[in-house]
Amino acid sequence: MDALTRARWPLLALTAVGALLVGVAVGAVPLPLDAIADALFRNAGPDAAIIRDLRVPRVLLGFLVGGSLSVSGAILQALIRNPLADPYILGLSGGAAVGAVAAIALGLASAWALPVAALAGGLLTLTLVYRLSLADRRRMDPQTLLLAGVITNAFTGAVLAAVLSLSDAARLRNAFLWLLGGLSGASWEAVGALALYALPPLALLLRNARWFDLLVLGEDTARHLGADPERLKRLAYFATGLIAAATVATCGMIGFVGLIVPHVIRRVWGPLHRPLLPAAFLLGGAFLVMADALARSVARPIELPVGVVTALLGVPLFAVLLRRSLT
Amino acid sequence: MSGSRLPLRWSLSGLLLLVACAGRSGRPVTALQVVDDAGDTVRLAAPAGRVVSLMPATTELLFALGAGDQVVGRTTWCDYPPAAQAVANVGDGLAPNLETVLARQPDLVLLYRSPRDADAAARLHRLGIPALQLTVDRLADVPRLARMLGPLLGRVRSADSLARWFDSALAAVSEPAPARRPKVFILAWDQPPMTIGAGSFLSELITRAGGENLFADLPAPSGNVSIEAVAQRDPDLIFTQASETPAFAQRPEWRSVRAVREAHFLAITSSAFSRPGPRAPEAIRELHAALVPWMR
Amino acid sequence: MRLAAEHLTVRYAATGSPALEDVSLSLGLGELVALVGPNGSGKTTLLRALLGTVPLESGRVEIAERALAAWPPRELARMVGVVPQREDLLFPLRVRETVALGRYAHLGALAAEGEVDRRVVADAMRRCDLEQLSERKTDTLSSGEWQRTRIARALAQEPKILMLDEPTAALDVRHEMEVFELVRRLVDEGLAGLIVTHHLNLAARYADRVVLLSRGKIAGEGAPGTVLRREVVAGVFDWPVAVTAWSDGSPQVVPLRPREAEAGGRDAG
Repeated sequence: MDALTRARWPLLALTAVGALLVGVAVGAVPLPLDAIADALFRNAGPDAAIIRDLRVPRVLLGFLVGGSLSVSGAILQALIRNPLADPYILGLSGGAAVGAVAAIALGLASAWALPVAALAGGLLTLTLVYRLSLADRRRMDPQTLLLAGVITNAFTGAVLAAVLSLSDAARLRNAFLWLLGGLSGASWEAVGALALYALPPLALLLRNARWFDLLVLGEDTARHLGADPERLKRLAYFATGLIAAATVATCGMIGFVGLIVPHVIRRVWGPLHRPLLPAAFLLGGAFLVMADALARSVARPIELPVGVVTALLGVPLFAVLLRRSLT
Repeated sequence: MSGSRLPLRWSLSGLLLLVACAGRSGRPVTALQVVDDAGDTVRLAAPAGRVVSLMPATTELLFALGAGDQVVGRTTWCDYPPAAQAVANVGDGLAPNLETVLARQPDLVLLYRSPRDADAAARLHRLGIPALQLTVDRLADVPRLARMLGPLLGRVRSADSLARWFDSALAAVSEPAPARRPKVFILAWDQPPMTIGAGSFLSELITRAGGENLFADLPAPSGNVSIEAVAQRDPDLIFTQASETPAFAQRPEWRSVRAVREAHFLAITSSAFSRPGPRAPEAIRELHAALVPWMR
Repeated sequence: MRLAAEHLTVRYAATGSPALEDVSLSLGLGELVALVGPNGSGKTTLLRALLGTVPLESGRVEIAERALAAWPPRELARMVGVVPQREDLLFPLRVRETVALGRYAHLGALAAEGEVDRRVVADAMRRCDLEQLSERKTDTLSSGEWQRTRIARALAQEPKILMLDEPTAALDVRHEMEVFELVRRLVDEGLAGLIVTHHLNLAARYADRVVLLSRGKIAGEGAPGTVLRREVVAGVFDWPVAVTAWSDGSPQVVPLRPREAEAGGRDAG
């Protein structure tokens, strides 16, 4: 093992901590570091409320979201045995979008209407896609799952396009801005809610990490080696579905993180899931926090959509990694 | 009058006039000619009797000029004055459906100046229908357009008097700059937070009324901003589009903004605030009244 | 300790006729059974039925006198090691990591790898001659090396029964012989072995018993000499053959060309 490989865990931990610090230090409002320290440790200073009630929860939320999406992406790639899977591939994105649009169309006024409707829409589609994917003998077939998810996304996409073209474009366009993803709704309550919905599935997935090493080989081989493929598939599907639905409800759809981070981790740690899942969580969290910090500060006081930044940052980084492994 | 007869009539009259004027100075004079905001010269043989207005601002202006009877087509968003709603609806103003427009047999079409409408304007020109592309974004556009459209509608006198009335009404509501300009945050949307920058009409109204747009430094006409930035800039008043206490105020992340905690909201629902028109002086007066408590 | 299957009948819902009809099979420690037959005769189906991956219309399977259904997946994996015909290689691992997957049935979800596990893995790799390849990525291996890796993985499960499905399908002579030699050695050391193969002649030389399937039914079962007779083989495979005896007494099947068939092949049966 070369020196870089030996140091990979400490480096990752350092990156995660560093990202959290940068996230708190940087923002739309430029604040000197001593003011930040004041706010964090002594809860003093005029900007203490901004740091304590806006930035810190936002950074924590970003870490949780980025980490959860990365773990979700890795597990889905194992479930459908396809390296191009991302957390929204199984129909979640379309369902959430239709839910959000329905809330607007029905004129639901509550502040929580949009996220709750998106969550409901997402979970409904998840269930539908699951039923669709049950092949003969009530077994979940991953390839059918993928197909059902893609079809559902296409269908809901068409529904959305039709609704958009027929209605009050301005209001609906704004709704889509939300769906495009962003951490602007971050608060301590949001962090708590997401932790409640995302941490238990994450824990379950982590616990079963080893079995996913077997699932990747194919269901029959997995069974021969001692796994229970039906249980694993169900766990993978519903855990990742719940995580993705919870993140969509909290901050819309943030793409790219769940797709790319697992691949980056595999190149450094290999594909075994016991190191892959925790490492993906840490890197995904750090990555999203950094992307959000950039989105908030590069064009202040305007905020760029965080999904734009994740793509702009992630693609070149991944290209570099790809070239290194090919040479 | 069908579209096919109009060009003939136009060119015949034009020819006659040219012949008539040819003997005089070298300067060609046609009956009615104007240069629109896209730089195109548009000519009419005679004042237009059938106007399709593809912008709520011009619809309002036409009625204010007393030319309401000459309006034969309006958009879905043309809601003022109430009489406008009796006029035939031709659909959307942006990227208009030309079939519906042409079905109204117009002799003048007024469009908003934008890349999508440039295409529609060009098509109308090719069909021989005079089409004007106009920018209506600022207070100054109101008297300017009144004077531009007056002759085209055969209402020169009322255009002139409207323009003069507008200018004096504006002057009447403009007070000297107050001791302190209240800071106003315009919330266009809350998830994610979107505001309106300095280039917009509402921003101009606020300035005229003695206030200051919180994000007057925003280069774009609108943009997404951080709640952080709003909290730090600490607005006195928040303008929203909701008619009761807005829903977003209940979300925890907005509690760090003082104006939200203290519930200083102003609902801006009337269309008088979103488009330049004769109602602007009244709108400014309303805004001023709302801002006065913060001017001390 | 025996694997005992009785009166197995399997019908895939779509087709009308059964894929397996009233097939019984028995396997004990130290025995190598070769399962042979034409394409579509039910060999893979039988293997699936023995492992419980396909539902039975009738019949039962027992391992160590316990019904198959009563074996939980992890326990079954510690008893039976399977080398399937095909496998996905989506995210390549190193050889050592691949072999170590065989220990998961022992480790479960949470236990850390210990001395015992490392020793078993090293042992399995040694028996399959993989020590030099330990750190190689599996997508860089030759077919023979990949096959040996998967056999080592099955060995790492420390099974009593080893099942291989067409393990030499894409291998050259040398690698083919290596696999058969390895399996024979393992069986001689105490395992029970079941090998599904196309290779009639190697089956005849290495296996203790041959089970010949034809259209879902057993067409012959017993020592290679009694099963691989000319008229039986020609009938099952629907092709004229001649059968000669090799120096160790095992029958060797030689398929005839049409001319030779007309001339009449030699009969050593």
